[in-house]
Amino acid sequence: MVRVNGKEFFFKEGEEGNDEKEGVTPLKGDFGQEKVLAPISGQITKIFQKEGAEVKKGQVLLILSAMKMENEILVEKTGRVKKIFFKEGDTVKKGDVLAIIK
Amino acid sequence: MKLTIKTFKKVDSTQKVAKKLKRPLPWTVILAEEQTSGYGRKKNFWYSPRGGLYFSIILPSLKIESAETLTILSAFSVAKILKEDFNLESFIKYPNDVYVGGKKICGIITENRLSGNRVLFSVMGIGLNTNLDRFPKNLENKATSLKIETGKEVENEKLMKKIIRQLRKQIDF
Repeated sequence: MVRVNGKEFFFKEGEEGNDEKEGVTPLKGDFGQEKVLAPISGQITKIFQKEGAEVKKGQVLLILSAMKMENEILVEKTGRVKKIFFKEGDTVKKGDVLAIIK
Repeated sequence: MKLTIKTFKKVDSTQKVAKKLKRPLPWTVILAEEQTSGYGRKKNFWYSPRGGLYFSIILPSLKIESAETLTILSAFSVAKILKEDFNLESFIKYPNDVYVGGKKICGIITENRLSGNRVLFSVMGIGLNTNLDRFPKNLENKATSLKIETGKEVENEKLMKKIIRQLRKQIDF
């Protein structure tokens, strides 16, 4: 029991969980965005999508050539291509953000 | 694991057919008598008339590094068969082309499909010039075939199975 301004409040055990939920840090501005990262270092040989384009989960975003192989990088989330950070012919390092899907 | 072979008279590209499979199960093979838009690395055109051997294999789920190793091993497997069965000395241009007498006889391409860091599947395509009598003018100084080199024809499907057997021997899945 907690008394606030003379009023008494009772809490059941189960309600403590709700307090924890309220304690979660609110999601920031990038909620719903997907950063497409380069899984390996290589060269972008083909980009299939343009900024602003609607894309579906599983569509090929671009081809990353690495280790003499061609790697199709898929979009993991349905949405719109907000930004593509590289152009065809550019080399990228593993972990580079290739694009943002919102 | 069982080998499933799907044969076609004519396709645009065995790689494209393999990548469009709804259920790309490992060791499914797309074999075609002819390709109208066969391609190699960097989408370079691969001359694919009737007579040649053109196939694509869905590989088991691999790390990218392992797929690279497998590409090299497949070139090695082809070179080994060329030597043992046809007494042809070959040269492997790292990692995926096989040459005989300075002319290309076989090309190999591996394509991976990735979602995040996961390799969903890998497709390896092999084009081997087997029963081709001649090449167009622009290729005749660059390409050769088993028939040109040995004067003999081969059974394409039998040879394909041998290449895959060799390849599977190199790895332990």
